[in-house]
Amino acid sequence: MDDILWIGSALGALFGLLHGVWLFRLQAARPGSGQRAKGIYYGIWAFILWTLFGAYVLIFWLLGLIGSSIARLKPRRSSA
Amino acid sequence: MESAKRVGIIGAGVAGLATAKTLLAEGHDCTLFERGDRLGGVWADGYSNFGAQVPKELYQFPDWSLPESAADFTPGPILQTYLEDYADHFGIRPHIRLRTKVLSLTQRAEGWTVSTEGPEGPIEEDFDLVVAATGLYSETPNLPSLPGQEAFQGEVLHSAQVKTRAPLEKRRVVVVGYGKSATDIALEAAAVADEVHLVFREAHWPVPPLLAGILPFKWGMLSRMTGALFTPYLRPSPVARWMHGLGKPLVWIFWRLVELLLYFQCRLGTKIAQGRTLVPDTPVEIDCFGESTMLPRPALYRLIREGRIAAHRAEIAAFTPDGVTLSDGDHLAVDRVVFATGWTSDYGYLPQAVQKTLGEDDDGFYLYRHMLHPDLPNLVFIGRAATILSILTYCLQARWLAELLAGRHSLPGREAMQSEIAALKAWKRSWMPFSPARGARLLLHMLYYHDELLRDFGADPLRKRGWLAPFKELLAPYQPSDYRAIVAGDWEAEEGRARA
Repeated sequence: MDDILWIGSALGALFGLLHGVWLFRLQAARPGSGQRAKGIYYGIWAFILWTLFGAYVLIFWLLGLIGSSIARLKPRRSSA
Repeated sequence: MESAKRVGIIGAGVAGLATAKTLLAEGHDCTLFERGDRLGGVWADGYSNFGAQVPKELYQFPDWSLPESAADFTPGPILQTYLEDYADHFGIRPHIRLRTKVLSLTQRAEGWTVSTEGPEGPIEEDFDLVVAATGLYSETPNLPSLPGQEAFQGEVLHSAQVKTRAPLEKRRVVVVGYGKSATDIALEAAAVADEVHLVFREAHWPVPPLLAGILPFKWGMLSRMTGALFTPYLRPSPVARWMHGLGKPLVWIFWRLVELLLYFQCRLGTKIAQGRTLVPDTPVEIDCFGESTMLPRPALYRLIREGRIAAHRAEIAAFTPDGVTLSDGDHLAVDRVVFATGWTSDYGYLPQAVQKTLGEDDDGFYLYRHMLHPDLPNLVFIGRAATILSILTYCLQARWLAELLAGRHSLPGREAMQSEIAALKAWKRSWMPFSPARGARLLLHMLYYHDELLRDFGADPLRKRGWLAPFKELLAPYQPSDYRAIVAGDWEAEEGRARA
């Protein structure tokens, strides 16, 4: 369990960093005062949230992977 | 476009009023043509007990709130009064010509000539710009033609003809359809009729007002986080691309959990006619972009469970003198059949050549930003975008148009607009369920569409405020109040910029 928490948090931190940088760049490119500060603030939030919930995201991802693989073996519904 | 000053607006419903208010405030000379004898469009007249299908904070103008006393899921007559008040408050009423039908439009070198027939007889007027604000559908009911109908001894009605419960009282009623009007009329019938049948081809996933009985549905549907889990919008962000690539199992499990919640909350496993159930065939994340987005009144599923409304997952195969025969073989002895099957789409006032330019595809025509066609300058469609927050969408479209007319943003070239339309068409057709109005359908992708409009005229699409804004951007629902400054036209001060 500890391993999952560590791995999930580490992956979360990595994704959070990438997401944060993307958010900063997006916001900083906007005209007007204070956009860079806003970008940094949003970037930090993205980093923290991903790091905090990274383990949960990983667990859901694994459950989804198992569930969707099983569902693929037994197709039952149409898609558009 | 920048020189357009005389604006003819066809339709004085929500879209027409929002456009007039915005353009009048920018100094344009607007004339609204309304064929009905009062403003309000669909809210001026409706079936028995009709009303909004979302809570009131989601269905109101961002800069003109519904009265405190107005009920949630606001009834139609209250919305009508609200629109009348809006027209008076913003000085729109003197610009409206009631009982005036637009007969045709003729293209001029710089604008359009509008031919109308009203109380003062036929008139022709020139406008620099025409806004078609007549919505997605016409006033012609979409009524299927079925064998044996002439021999049927009961009465066949369209939902629009059920103005009160009287035609349903002490009758054996079949309601055809599974959208908002069908389920509303089935509930009306259940209150007074002897027998009620609801006949529908396909079941749809319902969206209850409170998810799990506690969480208002807007928190589950209208946030950026949920938005990222739907099929990615045209040109998705890197985050959405990741979610739907490497993160696909996350998206899968999220929607299966949503389906599980809806299954148990609405008890969709309830057995209906022929031993079938109310569980839809299409996954929820696709189904919610279909023709019927289900936000039923809570009593619907209870009455189906109790047998007060008999549900049939079939279609009418034929009429018989004493009722209808269904495609599953059942025969229903009834004396009222109500088709709640919507309306046809009709822009009959547009010349044939214009209609041809717009396109004659089965799924409706596609426009640049859901508003413009590159080969039809000075003709703008406002209100031809189906979203969950339609008033907000129309207000933002009107703001986008006002900014365009003021020269604060500009259109890309003809080729770029055409390529954008082609991309939109290919994207929708690649996954969105067919509907005659697919070209105009955005529904839960509206957040991305709103972002697109705002970015076009240079406003910040991130509208949440306060120190928790990033958290709210992720989880809190987007609603009209978030766009108050945009719609009022004073967002630049808020962003620390001077208005151009």
